Amino acid sequence: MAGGEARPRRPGRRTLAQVFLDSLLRNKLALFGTAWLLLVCIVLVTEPVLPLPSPTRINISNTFAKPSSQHLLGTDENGRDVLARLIDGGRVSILVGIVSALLTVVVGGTLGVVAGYAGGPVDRVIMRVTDGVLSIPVFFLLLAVVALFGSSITVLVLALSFTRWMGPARLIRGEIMRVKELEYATAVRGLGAGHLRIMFRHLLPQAMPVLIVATSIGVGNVMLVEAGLSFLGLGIAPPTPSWGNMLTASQFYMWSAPQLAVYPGLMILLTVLAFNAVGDVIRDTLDPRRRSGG
Amino acid sequence: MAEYLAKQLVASLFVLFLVMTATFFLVKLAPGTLSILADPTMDPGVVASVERRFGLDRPPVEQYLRWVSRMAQGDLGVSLVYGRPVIAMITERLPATLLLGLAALLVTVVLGMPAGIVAARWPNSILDQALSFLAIVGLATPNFWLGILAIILFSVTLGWLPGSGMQTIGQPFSLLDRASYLVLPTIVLATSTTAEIMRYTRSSWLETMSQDYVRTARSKGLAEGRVHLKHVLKNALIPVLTILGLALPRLVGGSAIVESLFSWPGIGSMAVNAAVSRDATVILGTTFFVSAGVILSNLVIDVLYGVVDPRIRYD
Repeated sequence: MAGGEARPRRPGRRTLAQVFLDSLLRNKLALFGTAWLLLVCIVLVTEPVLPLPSPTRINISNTFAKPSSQHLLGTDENGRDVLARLIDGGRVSILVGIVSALLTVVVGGTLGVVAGYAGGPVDRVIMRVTDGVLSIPVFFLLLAVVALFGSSITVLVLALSFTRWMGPARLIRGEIMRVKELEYATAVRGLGAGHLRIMFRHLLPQAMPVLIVATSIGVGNVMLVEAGLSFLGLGIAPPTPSWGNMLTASQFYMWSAPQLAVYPGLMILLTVLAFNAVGDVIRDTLDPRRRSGG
Repeated sequence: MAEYLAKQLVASLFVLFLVMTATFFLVKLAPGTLSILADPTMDPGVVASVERRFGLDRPPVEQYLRWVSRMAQGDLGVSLVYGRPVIAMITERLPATLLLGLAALLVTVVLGMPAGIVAARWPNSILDQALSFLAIVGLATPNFWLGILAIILFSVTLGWLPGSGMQTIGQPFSLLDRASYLVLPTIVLATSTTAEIMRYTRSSWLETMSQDYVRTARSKGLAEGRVHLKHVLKNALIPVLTILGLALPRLVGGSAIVESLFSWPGIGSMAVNAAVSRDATVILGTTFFVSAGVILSNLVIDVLYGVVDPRIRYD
C-alpha cells in the first residue's frame, strides 16, 4: 500500500459520463447494445441516401432470389429486396416502440407522481386500479381494441401506451414517495409553491433516472407486443413493412425459404435486447445506491 | 385471516368490475355500433330494429347496468359471425387452452425456479452468467418467432414433432400422440415466463441470503448447502409466488399468439380469429372470460400467500 495511487477511488467524484463509460465497458452485453442501437440509428437516418432497391417494388420474376450484389440479403416472396424491407420495417417498428414507450411513461408517470404526492385515498384508488390492470391479460384487451377500432398506427400507439403504463406508474410513485419527504421538498413547500409546481418542477426531476430506465425497457417491450400483433395481421398492415408483419408472410414459406423467417426475428431480438441492456446500464449509472457496488 | 380473505375478495371483484367497465366503454367508443360492425351494408331500418332488440336505444347508464349484470351472470352475448352463444364457444375450447397453459406453467416452475436457485447458489459463476444470459435473451425473443424457428427445425427439417394442430387427423386419441403435439407450443409459450421466474427467483434468493438470520446460520458453522436448503429456500420462494401470479397474464396473453401459430384449437386462437373477423362480442366475451380466470387464479395465489407467510395476514 505504498504511494499515492493506492488512495481509494471515490465514486462520488466521477462524472456521470465516466460512470456510464465504466459500467458500459464492464458489461459486454450493454456495450453490444449501445453499438447496435448506434448502428441502427445511423442506418435508419442515412437510409434515403443508401443505394438500396425500393422496399415495396414487386418483381414477380425474381422471387426468393439468393443474396447477390444487387440484393444483399436476397428477395422475398414478391421479389422485394429483403434488406431494404428490414430497414424500412425497422423504422416503423422502432418508431412505434419509442413513441408508445414515451407516451406510456407520460401516462404512468403522471399517475405515479399524483399518487405518490397526494397519498391517502387518491393514492389508494390509483394504485388499486394499477394493480388491477396489471392482473388483466392485456393482450386480449389489445385484440379487442384493434378489432373494434381498426389497426392504424395511431390506434396501435394509443392502445399500447394505455395498456402498459402500470409499471412506470408504480416505479415513479415509489420514487416520489421517497423524495417528497426530503428537506428540499419541505423547503419548496414552505416557500409557498403550488402543488403542481412541486410535483412536476421539483419532485419529478428526481424521478428522472427511473423514467429514463422505464422508457428504455418499455421500448423493447412495446416492440415485442407490436411485432406480435403485426404478426397476427392485427398490427401494422402491409404493404408498410414492419418486422412483425414480415414474419407473417414468412410462415407460409417455411419449407421453401426459411431464411425469410430468420432475419426479421433476429432484428427484433437484437434491438429489444439492446434497449433492455442499455436501460440496465443507465439505471446503474444514474442510481447512486447501485453505483458504489460492483 | 378472515379479514385478509375478505380484502382480497373485494379487490378481485373490483378488478372484475374494472374489466366490465373498460369493455363497455370500448364498445361505446368504437366507431359504429355492434350491428354495423357485423354488416356495414345493413338497411338503416333493420339497424334500428336490431338496436332496439339489443337495447342499444336505451340511455347509456341503463345500457351499462344491463351490460354489467349480464356479464356477471355469464351471459356474454352471441357471436356476430357464427350466431352461437359466446360462452358455449369458450367452454368448448377451454380444455385445450387449459392443457397448454398448465403444461407451460409446469415447465415455467420446474425449469425456472431451479435455474434461479442454481444461479443464486453460485453467484457470478460461469453457470450463473450463462443462465442469466439465457434469461435475458429469452425475455427479448418474440415468442412467435421462436415458434416459427422451432417449427422449421423440428417439424419441417427434422420431422421429429408435429408443428400444427392438437392430434393426428384420422387417428384415435392416444396420450403419446397428444403429448407430441403439445411439446413445441408448450416450450414456446413457457420461454418468457421461465426467464422471468428464473431472474426473479435468483434475485429473491440473493436478497434472502443477505438477511441476518442467514448470517447467524452460517456463523454457527452450518455447511453452505444446508444454509441454502434449510434456511433460505422457504423464505426466498414466498415472493416468487407473487411473480407467478403476475406471470399468469403474460402466459394467457402469449397463448393467443402461440395457439394461432400452432393452430391449437383453444381460446387464444379463437380470440385472434374473432379479432381478424371483427367479431366484437366474441372478442369482448373472451377478454372478460380470461380476465376473470386470471383474477380468480390470482385470488387463489393471494390466499396461498397468506397461508405460507404469516406476516401478510396481520398487515
